[in-house]
Amino acid sequence: MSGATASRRGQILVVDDSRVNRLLLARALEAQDYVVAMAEHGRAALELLRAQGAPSFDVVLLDLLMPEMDGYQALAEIKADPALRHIPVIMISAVEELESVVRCLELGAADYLLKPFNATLLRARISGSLASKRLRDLELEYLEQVGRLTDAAASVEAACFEPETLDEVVARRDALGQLARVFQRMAREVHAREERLQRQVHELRIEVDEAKRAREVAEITSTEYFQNLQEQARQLRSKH
Amino acid sequence: MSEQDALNRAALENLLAATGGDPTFLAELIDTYFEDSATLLPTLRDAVSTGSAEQLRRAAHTLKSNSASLGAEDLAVLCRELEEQGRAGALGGAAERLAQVEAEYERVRRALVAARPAA
Repeated sequence: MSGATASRRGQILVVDDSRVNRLLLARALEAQDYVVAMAEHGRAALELLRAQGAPSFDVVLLDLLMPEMDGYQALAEIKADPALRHIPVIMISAVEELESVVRCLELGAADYLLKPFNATLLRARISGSLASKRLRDLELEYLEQVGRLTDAAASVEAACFEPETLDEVVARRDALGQLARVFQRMAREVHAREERLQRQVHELRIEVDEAKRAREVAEITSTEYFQNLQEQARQLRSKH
Repeated sequence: MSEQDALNRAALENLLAATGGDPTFLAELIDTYFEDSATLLPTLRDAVSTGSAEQLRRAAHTLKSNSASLGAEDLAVLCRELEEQGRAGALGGAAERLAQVEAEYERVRRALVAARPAA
């Protein structure tokens, strides 16, 4: 499977202390072209989710009864972590009690599936969770790019705007992209006009300086003292 | 009941279909089930003899889940009863139920050996 396909289908973390269940879930998901990583309890799952350079998981499939850290604790930690809380967590457990289902949903689980899992149901639930995760990712990206546009407006006011900072937003095909394109073009025009004015001011300043120097020379050369000096110089040159 | 009845064949076939229909994988899965059971059954015996309800609950839960996944439904039901006893902390009669679990496991084991695709 190619990397592009993998990233399009999604990366799933399977957390289960039972090797049989890990193998089963992983194989069933890989058969549907998902990329799967596995952890044997909640603590190992959190380490994987928080590891530097770890893949960005799209869905976590979480068992409940596990040693070290059970599914309730792991779920609570994931939902309390601002960097992880957006990842949909689907509980998958052989614990059938309603109170367990309710507790998990209250803790923020996206869904609750019973073992042994039904492959069709699993596929449907994962598709649903992936769709909401992608919607959330798009929303976050949108908000981040709106932030770039407002930062750009502040930079224009502070006279330190660099148009290239908006290139990514400009590439969007939606209304935000259009706004960014208009903003970038106008900001470039304003910048170019400012540069032109600065050049003109600079040229005027040179002209003013030259005129000032000419006036100062004229003031000196028009004095009686200077005229006398010139006359004396002329006489000295004629004697020789 | 025959050894074949120890397993729900439809569940096993569904499992095979859901995992891509690879017989080698099914063989690997059955081997893993045997390996895990070889740890879980002694853990259950130990829990019953020491009266450790939480240990009983966890091991019975895992054996229940593993067995149900492979279509060993009767064994899963027996394990569930043991799990409930562990959860309730009421271990009266647990030794007898464990004996039933072990007998049923033996039937499941033979059925799985028969169902396991050859290497």
